[in-house]
Parts: sequence; structure tokens; C-alpha cells
Amino acid sequence: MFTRVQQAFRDLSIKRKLTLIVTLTSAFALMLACAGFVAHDIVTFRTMTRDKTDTLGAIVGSNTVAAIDFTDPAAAKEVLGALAGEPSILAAILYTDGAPFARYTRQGASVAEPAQPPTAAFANFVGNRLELAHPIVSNNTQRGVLYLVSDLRVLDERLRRYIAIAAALLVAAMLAAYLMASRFQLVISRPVSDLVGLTRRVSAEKDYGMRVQRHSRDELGDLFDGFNEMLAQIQQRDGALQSAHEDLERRVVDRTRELQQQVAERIAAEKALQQQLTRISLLNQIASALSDRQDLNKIVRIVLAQLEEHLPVDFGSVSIFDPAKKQLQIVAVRRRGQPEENAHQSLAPFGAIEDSLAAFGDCQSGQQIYIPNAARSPKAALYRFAADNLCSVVAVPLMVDRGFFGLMIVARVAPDAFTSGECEFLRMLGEQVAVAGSQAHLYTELQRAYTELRENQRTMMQQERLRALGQMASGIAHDINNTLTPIVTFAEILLEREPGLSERTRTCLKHILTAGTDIAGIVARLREFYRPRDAHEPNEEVDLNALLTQLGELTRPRWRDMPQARGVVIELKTDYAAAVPNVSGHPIELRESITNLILNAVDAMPDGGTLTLRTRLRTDAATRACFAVVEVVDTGVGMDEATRQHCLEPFFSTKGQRGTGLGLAMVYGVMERHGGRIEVESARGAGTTISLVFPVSTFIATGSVHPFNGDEPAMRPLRVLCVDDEPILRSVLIELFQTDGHEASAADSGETGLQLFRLAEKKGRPFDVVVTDLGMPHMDGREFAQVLKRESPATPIILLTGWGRIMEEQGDRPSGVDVVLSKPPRPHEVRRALRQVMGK
Amino acid sequence: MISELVGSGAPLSCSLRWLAGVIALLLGMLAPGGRAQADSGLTQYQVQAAFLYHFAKYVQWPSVAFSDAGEPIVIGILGDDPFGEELMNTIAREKPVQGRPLRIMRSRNLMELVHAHILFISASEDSRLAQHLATLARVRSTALTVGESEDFLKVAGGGMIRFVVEKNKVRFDINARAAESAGLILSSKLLSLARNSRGGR
Repeated sequence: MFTRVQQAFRDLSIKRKLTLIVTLTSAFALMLACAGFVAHDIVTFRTMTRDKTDTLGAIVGSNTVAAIDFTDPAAAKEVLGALAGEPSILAAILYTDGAPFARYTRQGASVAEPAQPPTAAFANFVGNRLELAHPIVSNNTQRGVLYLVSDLRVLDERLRRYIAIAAALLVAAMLAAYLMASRFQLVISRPVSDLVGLTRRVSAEKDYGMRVQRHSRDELGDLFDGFNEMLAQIQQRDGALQSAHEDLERRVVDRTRELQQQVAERIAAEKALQQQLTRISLLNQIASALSDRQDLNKIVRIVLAQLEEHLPVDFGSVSIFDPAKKQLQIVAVRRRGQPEENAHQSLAPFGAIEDSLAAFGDCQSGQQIYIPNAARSPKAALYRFAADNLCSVVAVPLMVDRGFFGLMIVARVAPDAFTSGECEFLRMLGEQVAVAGSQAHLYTELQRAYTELRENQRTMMQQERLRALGQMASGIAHDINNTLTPIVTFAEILLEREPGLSERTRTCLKHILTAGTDIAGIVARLREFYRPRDAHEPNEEVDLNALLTQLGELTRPRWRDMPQARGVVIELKTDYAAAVPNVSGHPIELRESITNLILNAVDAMPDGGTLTLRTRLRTDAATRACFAVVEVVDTGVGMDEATRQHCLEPFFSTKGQRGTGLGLAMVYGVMERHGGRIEVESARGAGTTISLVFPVSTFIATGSVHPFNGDEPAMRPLRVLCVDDEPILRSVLIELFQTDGHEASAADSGETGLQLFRLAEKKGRPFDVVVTDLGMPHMDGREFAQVLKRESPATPIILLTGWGRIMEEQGDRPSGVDVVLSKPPRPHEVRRALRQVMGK
Repeated sequence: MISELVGSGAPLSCSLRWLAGVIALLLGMLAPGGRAQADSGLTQYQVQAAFLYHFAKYVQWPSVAFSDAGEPIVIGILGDDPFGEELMNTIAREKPVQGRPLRIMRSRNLMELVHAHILFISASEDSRLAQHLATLARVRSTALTVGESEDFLKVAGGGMIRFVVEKNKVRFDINARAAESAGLILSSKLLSLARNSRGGR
């Protein structure tokens, strides 16, 4: 409502607005003044009425004190009756001790008693009445309360009068204000309406040349000046704007054309970039696919598959250059829409690539070749591409370290289909493939080298282990020999020299000697199973076929007779190659070795089977070296892998009590000495084949030398000094020398030996020969020999030791020692040694 | 509005009024003599005792009546005391008059009471009333003499105020001339309340 009025006011013309404002303002001011006066009057009147009534109450009240004192209501009423002189008082009631004591009521007025008797002063305006209570005090004591009701109708009367006067004044004032305002408003409203009229005309006619007439020097006058000036400026700018607008229009057109051109260029560039990116990502993909593969075939397949799918190409092939044959070998071919195998076989370009070296000869120098249209090429190889509908062909050389490694050919059906970017991409890809391919190549080589190395290492380890075991065995042999020495020596001495032995004693001694010799033989074999070639035992030419025939016959009792007794049949097959050359070797060792193998084979067939003896010639493909091979084959129980691996080690036996565990170990040692090797092929339940492989190139001329001469010439009696910490060995040596007619003395240590030797020198009966043990406490044989040799260089010294063989082999003969003898010392060996040293 | 203002005081005044009624009933039974002012529940002598006190307010004694400013107003009872405790109670209840306390003196010997300011002459002294009044006049007493016998005002020398019981209400007559001759000035208000003045009007 209020906003609508506001709006209506806003829409009024300025003329009316001014008039209305002036009129309303004066009316409002007047109303405000009147309201103020009336309000003041009302307040004043009320206050006055209250004060007057109160005073009246005080006067009348004091007059009623005596009447109250002497409880005389009649007298009090008389006093109250005096109030009739005041017309505004409607009623008066006197209360004492809370009860009405006397009352007065104006004629014709009806006043109700207050609900509660008043006890204290108060003054209330209720409706158009004033109710007032005035306490009556006498002698400082409240004697009662006078209750008065005063009529205010007089006030209403006055109020009405005031309002009437104000209304009349207001109307008059508004009229006067309106009249004055409608005259004076013209001063402002006329110029404004002039301005409005001009504005309307300017906007309607768009004629900025019009000007408004100025009437006064006030703000309106300034406004008119400003307006005129504005019009002038608008007029001026209008012209400028027009020309600017035209200029702008022209420039926009130019710019738009330019932009369109740029956009087109940019789109083209972006497209090119996109292609480039795709190719790079493809290259990346391929590179990462290549990086974790080591197989050339797979690498090439991946590359071709990726190319076909993503570049894309319709045909792709990779060939590897074989420098030996000077030709290309195809690794993989792909033809769109055909399975790989088909592509390989049925495609025409296949043939083209095979001999494409002629067509793509330039590639060998690392040059990439692009043939936009194979159909127009004069080269026959390319024409075959065209025949398979492949027009554009790119040949990419795969170069590794500037060397021609292979050729990658891709082709598309459409002619002229490869962009320079794609060619560049293919070149880069070619580099990648070449590197990956050569790496795969290298990897394969490496793998092979590694396998070889591992094999060698395994062999070395086995040899080392056997060698260690051999040394251990020698140690054991030494101890056994020491113990065996007196048994064998004494038995032999007794048999040789003791006269008057009973036949029974002689038989027993022979048994002892045989058994001792057997033990010595076992120990010797134990020591020899890892003995390198002995320089003293020259090789002979051995006919393997003859040897096998001989051995087959010799072992007949074991493979035929004995099993037959148990009802088991073992068949012997022989398969001898005529072309097997003779090998250089030690016939006895070889005989022993092969016998061992045959016996093992028989033992492996407790339920019968076939024993095959075979010889053949083997040629190594790589080295072209020739080997003569002896094979002993059985169809027995075979060996499991663990047994097979350990079967060559000494003391390893599957025969329990029957076997020494030295058989195969000895064979191994023999083969090592012959420069050959032993091969064991076996599986559990599938029989065993043991091959002895001899190199045939290392042949040594025949000719057997037997330095030992059975007839020993008698020696002159000698004075011999024997030094040994073992009493039993001392006695053995003394017995031995004395039996041969020599004069022997013994010492139990190096020191004693030296004293005896020096004493004999002094006496002029020096020792001719000194025999000493090696291992002794305090001063060992080595030291003793050195000291002795310094004092008497001419005296020969024979060293006696269980380590003799090994010392000889290692060239470890102690200084001062002339001859080293092994334990147990056999009488004929001792004699030979004596002869040797004395013969010098 | 009014009820609100006075509401708090209403129960107290009610109960007081009730208590006063009970006391009056008890006293009435003890003293079956007078039963004036039965409507207000007070005995005749209770009212009269109150009047005796109130008289002091409306009388102006000559300056010789008091030797100093704080001297009490003495109410003397000559002869039989009809008020008993009542007068004592009234005085104890009311405030000092004209700045002076009130005191009661009782005696059958007038000479002991010649300095009283208000002297009530009991009906027991009726026989010697004239003699007493003459004595008072002789000693130039300034006492306001109050009595209740019928001839109290008419006797030679005359009493000043006489209680009368009219329609069960205690009223009084005044012999203004007697008071004037004793040098006392009686308030016009008192005079206007006297029965005889009203009646004489």
C-alpha cells in the first residue's frame, strides 16, 4: 500500500510534487504543533486537577479529625457536605479503621465504593474520573483516609474545543500553503519542463544541434549550460565514433581471415604432431617389449605384429645376414590377413627376400631404401612384391656396430604410401631391433659359455675331491705299511735263510707272507688310485680289441660259471669296431681296470642279463679330435643319480662287505693317468654303460724297459747304520742286513745316530751306508741327513718312509738323501737300493 | 487499582477487628454494667477513656499549667475509677499530645489532684461535687473537669464536660463558660461536637 503511494508520488510531475511537498510540509508542521499544545494541556490539566483534588481532600480531611476522634459520623458527614461547593467532586467517602465512617455523594452522580477500603495515598485516572485517596493525619497519627472521586468531563470538553480549533487552523494553513506553492513552484518547474521538452525532441529527432535557453544563474542555469555542452560533445563524438566503427569493421574482417589461416595451419601441425606422437609411443612400446626379451625370434615377431597393427603396414619381414654364406635368412614374415605360417610359405615376396641381397644391396652399407612403386622397378625381386599387390616397399638395414646384421622389409598395398616421417620412424625402429637382436645373439652365446664353464667347474671340483681323498688314502697306507713291515720281512727272511724249518712251519710262513703281500697289494692299490703317470713306467701300445677278447675269456668263470651255478644266465655280447686304433697305455693297469668293470657289471645283474663289451671310434664334432672308446654295458639294476655321481669316489661301494669301494676309483685314477676319462651312464633299473675314452692322438712309441734284473750279484759286506724310532723296524732292518752278511748298527734317534757315526769315524771303522726313517721326534730324518751329509758328504744315505712315492712325485726329495725307499721295505728293494748307492 | 494498593493490609485489619471483638465480648461479660456503643463493640467506659485522652488534643491550657515544655499532661481520677485498666491502655496505645506524655493519677483526695490537667470526677463524688468544684476554683485549678453525673454542669462553679449516653452512644456536653473562667481555651471543633452546642444551635 505504502509503496504504491510512494510510486504514485514519484510519478507526479515536478510541478505537482513541489506544490504537494510545500502543502504537506506546512500541514504536518502545524499538526505537530497543535498535537504538542494539546498534549501539554492535557498533562497540565490532569496535574492541576489532581493537585486541586488533593488539596481539597487535605482541607476537608483535617476538618473531620475531631469527628473521628469523638466517633461522630454525623459531624463528619456535615463536614463532607461542604464539598457540594465544588462541582467536579462526584463523591467523597471517609474511612476509619478500614470501614466507611461518613460519605458524601453529589446529587445525581452514581459512584461505586472502591472494592478495598483505601489505606494510603493514591491518585488514579480511571476513564474520565480521578480517584484519589488522602490520608487524614492528626497528632502524627493516621486517623483515617478520605477517598475522593473527581469528574474529568471538563477536560474532554476542553479537548474537543482544542481539536476543532486545530482542524480549522490546519485547513486554513494548507489552503494558504497550496496557493503560495502553486505560484512559486513555477520558478523551478518551468525551466525543468523546458529542458524536458528539448530532451524529448533531441532524442526523437536525433538532432544534437539544438540548444536550450538559459533563464537564470542558479544551479538550473548551470545544468542547462552543462546540457548544452554535453550535446555539443555528443555531436562531435558521434562523428568520431562513426569513423572508428567503420575502421574497426574493416580490421575485424582482416583479422578473421588471418586467424582462419592460422587455425588451419595449426590443425595441420597438430595432426602431424599427433602422428609423430603415435609413432614415438609405438617405438617406445616396442622398445620396452624388446628390452625384457632375449629370444631373437620372439623379438622380431613382436616388432612385426606391432608394425602391422599400429603403423600400419600390410607386409613385414625380418631376415638375418649370415656372413659365412653371404646370404639372408628369414626369421619372420607377416602378411596382413594371413596366418604367420601361410605368410611364410605362400607369399611371393618370400622368394624375393631370400635373394633380396641383390635388390637391396645398398642396405649392406647401412642405407635405407624406399621404393614408392615396386611395379615400376626394373629389379626382378621388387617385381615380385608388385605381383603380391605390394607397391610401396621400405627396406631397413639392421646395423650393429656399423656391421650389417640383418634386413627389415615393410610394404604397403598403396603406392607411394610411406611419408618421410614414417621412413624416419622405421629407421629408428631398425636401430632398436638391431640392438635387441644382437643382444639376443650375444645372450645366447653367453648362455652357452656359461654352461660350459659350469661343466668345467664341476669336473674340477670332482677331481679336487678325489685328489684329497687320494692323499688321505696314502696316509692310511703309511700306517698299514709300518705295521706290515715286520710281518712280511721276517716271514721272507725266515723262508729264505732259516735252515731246518719243518714243512708245516714253512707252509704257515708262506701263508703269512702271502697274506701280508696281499695286504701290501691292497695298500699299494689304495695309494695308486690317484697316482699320476709314473715316469718310470713307460707306456706300451695296447690293442683294445685283443685286450677285451682276452679279458672276456679270463673272466668267464665270473660271468658264466658262477651265475650258472645259481641258475642265472648272463649272456656276453661283443661288438668290436675294426677301426679302433691302438692306444698308448699301461697294459696291466688297463687289464685290471677293465676286469674291474666286467666284475661290476656281473655284480649288477644278480638275476641275469646281457653283458656287452664294445669298442668304437668317436670323433668330437667340435674339436675333430679322435677317441678310442671301450664300453662295458650291462642290463642290470643300474644306479640312481646320487650313486652315479659318487660312484667314482674311493670307499664308495654298493656291494656292502664284498666290495672295497676302490674299484671304480682306481679305474678313474688309471684313466686320469692315461689322459683319458671315464663316463658313466646309468638310470635305476635301466642298466649301466661305462665308457673308457682314450685319446688316440697321444701315442707313444712302444718298447718296454725292465730295469729290474732277477739275478743279483753278491755284494761286499758293508757297515750299515740304521736310525729309526720304532724298535720293531730297527730290528727288522738289522735282521735284514745281517742276513745278507752286512754289519748293521741301530740308533733310536737322529742324535744317537750322529754320535754313533762320529764314534765309528774316530775308531776308524766308518759306516758305509746310513739308513734312516723320516718321521722321528726331536731330529727328523731330513735334518739328520743334512747334518750327516755336511760331516761326511761321501756317505750315501737311504731315506725310508711311507711317503716315499709321493715325495718322489712331487720332487720333494730332501737334500742329502740319495735314495728314498717306501715302506714296507722289501728285501729285494733294499738290496737294489744298496747296490744303487754303492755302485756310484 | 485500589484493591491492589490496600490488599496487603486487609487481612491484618480484619483479624485485628476480630480480636478486638473477642476482647470486648470478654470484658462485657466481666463488667455487665454499661453496654453503651454496643455497635462498635466497646463499653461505655472504654469509649469514655478514649474521650478523656482525645480531650487533651482540643484543649489549650494556660501557660501556668505547665512548668516546662516536657511536663506530662496529667489525667486525674478522683473517686472510684470506672475505667480500670482501660484508660491506662488507651494512653499507652496513643501518642503524646502536644509533645507531652500523658500520665494518670488516681486519688480520693482532691488536693492530691489539683495539678491534674484533666480531672475526671467520678460519680462516687457526687455528694461533694460542689465542694470539689469550689476547691478547684479556689486554688485556681487549670484542670479540665470531666464528669458524668447529671448535674455536673449545673452545679455552682460548674464542671466543664459531662459524658452522656444517648442512644447507646457516648456523647458529651460542654460548659464553655466554666472552661473559659478556668483559663482554658477549648477548640471550636470540640465545641461543635458537643451535644448541647449542637442542640443549642
